[in-house]
Amino acid sequence: MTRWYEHRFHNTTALRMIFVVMPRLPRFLHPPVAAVTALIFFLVLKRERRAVTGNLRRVSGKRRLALQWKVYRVFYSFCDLMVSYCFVPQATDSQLLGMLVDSDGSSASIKQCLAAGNGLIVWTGHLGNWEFASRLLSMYGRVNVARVVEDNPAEITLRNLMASERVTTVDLKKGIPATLELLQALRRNEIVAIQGDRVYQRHTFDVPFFSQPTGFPVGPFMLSQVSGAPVLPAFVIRRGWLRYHVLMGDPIAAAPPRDKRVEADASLCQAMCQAVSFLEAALVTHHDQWMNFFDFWPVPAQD
Amino acid sequence: MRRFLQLSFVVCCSVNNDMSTIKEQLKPIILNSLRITDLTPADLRDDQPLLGGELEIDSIDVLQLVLEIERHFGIKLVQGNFNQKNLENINALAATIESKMAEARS
Repeated sequence: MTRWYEHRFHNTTALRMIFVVMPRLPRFLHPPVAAVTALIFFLVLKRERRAVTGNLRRVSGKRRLALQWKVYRVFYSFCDLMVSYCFVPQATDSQLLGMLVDSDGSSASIKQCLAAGNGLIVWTGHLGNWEFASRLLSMYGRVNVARVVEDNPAEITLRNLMASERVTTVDLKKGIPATLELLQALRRNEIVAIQGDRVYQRHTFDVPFFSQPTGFPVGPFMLSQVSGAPVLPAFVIRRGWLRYHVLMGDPIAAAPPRDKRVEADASLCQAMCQAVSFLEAALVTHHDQWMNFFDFWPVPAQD
Repeated sequence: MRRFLQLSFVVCCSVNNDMSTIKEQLKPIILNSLRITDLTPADLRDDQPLLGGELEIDSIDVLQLVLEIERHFGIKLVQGNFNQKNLENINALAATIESKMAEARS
């Protein structure tokens, strides 16, 4: 699988440049600088541009110039994400809330899920600003971010930057110990945040996604079934420069265990379908913030 | 002294019986959870490695196994100091289940 951070600009020098330059620039200059940077990367990173074009063609239904504009917007959204690393990790709770726009209902929903005492699995994706989402969640308790940590100095820098007492990264590469760690966290009524739109292991279910059977990892739903934790599909969407809005679906109750394997798989699949439908609905409007810079569906792009 | 030895013997036998019963119940659960159809419970040794051995258990298999064990024995297996060592082989897993059941009883 080709990923965004495999390109030659994802290195510590580039990150240092962002961290040194952007906080020193007046805020009104950020969007134009991001617009130019996004244009440069849009033109230079041909492989990533082709992949995003292919993905957005299916998601947005757009073609030609309208499609390329949306693809460019993905690069622009990525600039916002990278610059947010300068401000989000050290922001206080009130500063974070100050960056939110119209997200009143989300707090009650999270508290209600945690009240049952089984923990909470937040099912998110590479949509909007997931790092901001993990910081927001940490206001409600300890957050365990389940992800594959690449052995790449830039990736490690970003992980270290986001790490705090309330946000821990659980590296899924560790396999079984990572799974046990996540389950234990849920049993302590903590939050587990998982990006469900990338497949890292062999256990997937094919569910309809933009009219195409698409494999999504079963892990989060299995974890929910064992722990009893609800799955809450949620994304933090960009609404202007460093301004965000929380999109939150209805909590999905843990799939009930079944004696027959076919029935058990069906109940897990049903829970997954609900989460994936929410992702699909979010992408219909916000596809220009979906940052999967590889061919999500293995179909060659033609634009 | 004689009474004490007799009592100790009874306790030991009862613990061993419990362990044997747990292992007997555990083996079909393992095969069922891992969807293994070409082996029978009798094919599984007590010292059968669960991790890194021929059963090739991965993270999702572990979740499935934990779910089935917790449902069957009515315990919370993965809690407190539970770790990968408790899943090393059938003996270790059965001992953990036994101690969790004892905890639940007390």
